[in-house]
Amino acid sequence: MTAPAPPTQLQTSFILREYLRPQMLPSTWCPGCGLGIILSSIAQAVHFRGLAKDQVAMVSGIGCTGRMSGYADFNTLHTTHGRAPAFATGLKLARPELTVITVMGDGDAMSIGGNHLVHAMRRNLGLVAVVVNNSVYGLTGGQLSPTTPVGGHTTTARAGSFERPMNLEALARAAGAAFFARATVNHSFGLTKMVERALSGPGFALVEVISNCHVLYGKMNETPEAAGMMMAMDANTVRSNPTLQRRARLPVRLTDAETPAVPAADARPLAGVQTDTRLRRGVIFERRGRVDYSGRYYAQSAPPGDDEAA
Amino acid sequence: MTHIAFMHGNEAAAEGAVAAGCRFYAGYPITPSSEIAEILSGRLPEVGGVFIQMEDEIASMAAIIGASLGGLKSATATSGPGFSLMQENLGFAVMSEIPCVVVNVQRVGPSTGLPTKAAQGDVMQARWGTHGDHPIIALTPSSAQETYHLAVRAFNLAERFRTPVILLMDAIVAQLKEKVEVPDPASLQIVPRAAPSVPPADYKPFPFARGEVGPLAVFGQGYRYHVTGLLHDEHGYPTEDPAVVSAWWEHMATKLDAHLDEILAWEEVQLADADLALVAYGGTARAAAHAVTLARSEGIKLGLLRPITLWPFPEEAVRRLAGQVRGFIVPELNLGQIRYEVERLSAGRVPVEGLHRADGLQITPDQIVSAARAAHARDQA
Ligand SMILES: Cc1ncc(C[n+]2csc(CCOP(=O)(O)OP(=O)(O)O)c2C)c(N)n1
Ligand code: SF4
Ligand SMILES: [Mg+2]
Repeated sequence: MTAPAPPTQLQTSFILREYLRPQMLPSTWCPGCGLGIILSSIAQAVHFRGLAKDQVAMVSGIGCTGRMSGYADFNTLHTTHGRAPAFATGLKLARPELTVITVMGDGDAMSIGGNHLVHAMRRNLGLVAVVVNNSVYGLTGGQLSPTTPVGGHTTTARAGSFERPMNLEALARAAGAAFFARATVNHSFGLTKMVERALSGPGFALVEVISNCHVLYGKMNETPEAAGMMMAMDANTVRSNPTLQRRARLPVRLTDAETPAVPAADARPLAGVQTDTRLRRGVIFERRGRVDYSGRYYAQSAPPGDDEAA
Repeated sequence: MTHIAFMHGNEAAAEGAVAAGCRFYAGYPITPSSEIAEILSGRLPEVGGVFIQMEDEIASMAAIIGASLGGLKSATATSGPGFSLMQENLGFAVMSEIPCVVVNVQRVGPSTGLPTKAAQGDVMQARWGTHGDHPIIALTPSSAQETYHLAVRAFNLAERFRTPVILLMDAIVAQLKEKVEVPDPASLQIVPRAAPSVPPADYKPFPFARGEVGPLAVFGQGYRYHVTGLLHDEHGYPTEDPAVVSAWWEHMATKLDAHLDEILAWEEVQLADADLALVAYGGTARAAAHAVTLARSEGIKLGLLRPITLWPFPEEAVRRLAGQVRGFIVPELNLGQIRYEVERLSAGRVPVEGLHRADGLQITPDQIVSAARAAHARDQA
């Protein structure tokens, strides 16, 4: 019952200004920050999906990323640190016809708000989440984040982080999110496409966006320029091709009780074959027959049908 | 039609909420409040509402704010430890002026304390639990019947003043089953969610009209605006401009104060000729009311002031009494939270004595009468 409305008219030329609040500009973001690209991509995705601004809500947490909701001309809710998915859950249940996009930083989504994110993914209400992963706490001045890579320097890990970074992809899979994609601010066309894909189906759809905080993380890690960090995104990621990957190895299923257990493929790399350590971008997984459980919260909802057991 | 039911306070709170128009509940189970969630999980879908059990109390508070912005009257219920977890987002609701109702059924704290025993230890947490100065409303019932009415009133006040309202119960009232006259729904005064009357271009979501609140537009109905926990101007945009910040405070600080006659509620039992006054509330006030009868049969002119709105506190009533009686006794299931208020308001004019316990047991009428006898004897000496 909560599938986003189909495009009403063919959307053509995109004018970013129409999706911004001029009275809130200039933004508080540093010049060159990837957040501007992400805001623009979200606006484009909404535009090309043909969604009316009145029918879109943006719910953000706290952080540089959290500030995004103030700049976007939707129904916007700038919440508390980490809690955006919980606010969004209440809003979505009250107004299922709204397209609700949550926007969170890496600390917001995976540290203080980790539990809310996990449960939002598990519930699979029709929410879209954009998680901006810049490997650092931007707003508070460059502290360690749950995604800081091992060895990465931050103001609270001066000799380099030694904690294992969070694997959002595995987390999303385990929690049962319907859709997971990864994009970078260097591949903005792909980023827009991934947000469009996230907007176009039911269930909880998460897009992880690799972004640059050259001003803090970059400076502490020998990439003080935005351009350098963007170039690294190109070198360190590779386009995901789910079909090829499916063929190459059986998909990992962590919690899907409905799926019969399949023996894991031999995970040992073939002798002499170099494994690709680059992060994949694009659609990483999408559950077939994607489910939206929102209807179950309303008394008049039909009992779950077969297609929900994906 | 009015009908008679036999219910405990938690049930009365749930039924009162439904009658008041509550259509969204998000919560996390905790003794002694869980019955409210259990009942509403069945009742809300019956009336077209939504129930959701969240991952914790932080999320519960967040979800009811989100749902309220979506136009549904919303509530959550919890007890001490959960109430602590709600404080961050409770402050968000104050800051962003979003109506919602939080039921806190108090038990003995701090921490896990005595989970199944009644207490009144969250009085000050209800007042000052979230950080920063802020106005707040907290209502405290003494019976299942009153719980029903105060639940309705909590939603009305939340809508009227665009503020979170706390229904501060104790386990005595929450778990005591007694007769409740359930009023005919048509006889109840219900404050509906006000809708803006101006076109979106002229709409100010957070007007700074000293002591007045404007209507809160529902998300998705054409009024696109920004809601933030940052200090903001009338349009909701964050600001650090000291002039705007002062104007905001002017509005926030006077929001309730300008309407005390509309908000304040208390009951006076045999105070007209009293020369000794009890100040008691919630479950404890039941023992206090009985103590008044017992003491009077011994010739002690005892009376009772029973605050129903704990916050704002009925200050004038206490000040007035301080000029009439020769002393106050404050029985409460904590170590003196309302006693401090009474001391502050009587400002040294008459002695204020506390009768406190936080060991999980209740204060009996006899204990109160003994305290009254002692005070009386002192006065006669
Ligand atoms: C409860 C709470 N704790 C701490 C903070 C301080 N704080 C604000 S933003 C932030 C981290 C932001 O990092 P991230 O989520 O990665 O967002 P970014 O700024 O990098 O976009 C912290 C710790 C807060 N606002 N609230
Ligand atoms: S501190 Fe970093 S994340 Fe924040 S705006 Fe500046 S560059 Fe972007
Ligand atoms: Mg970050």
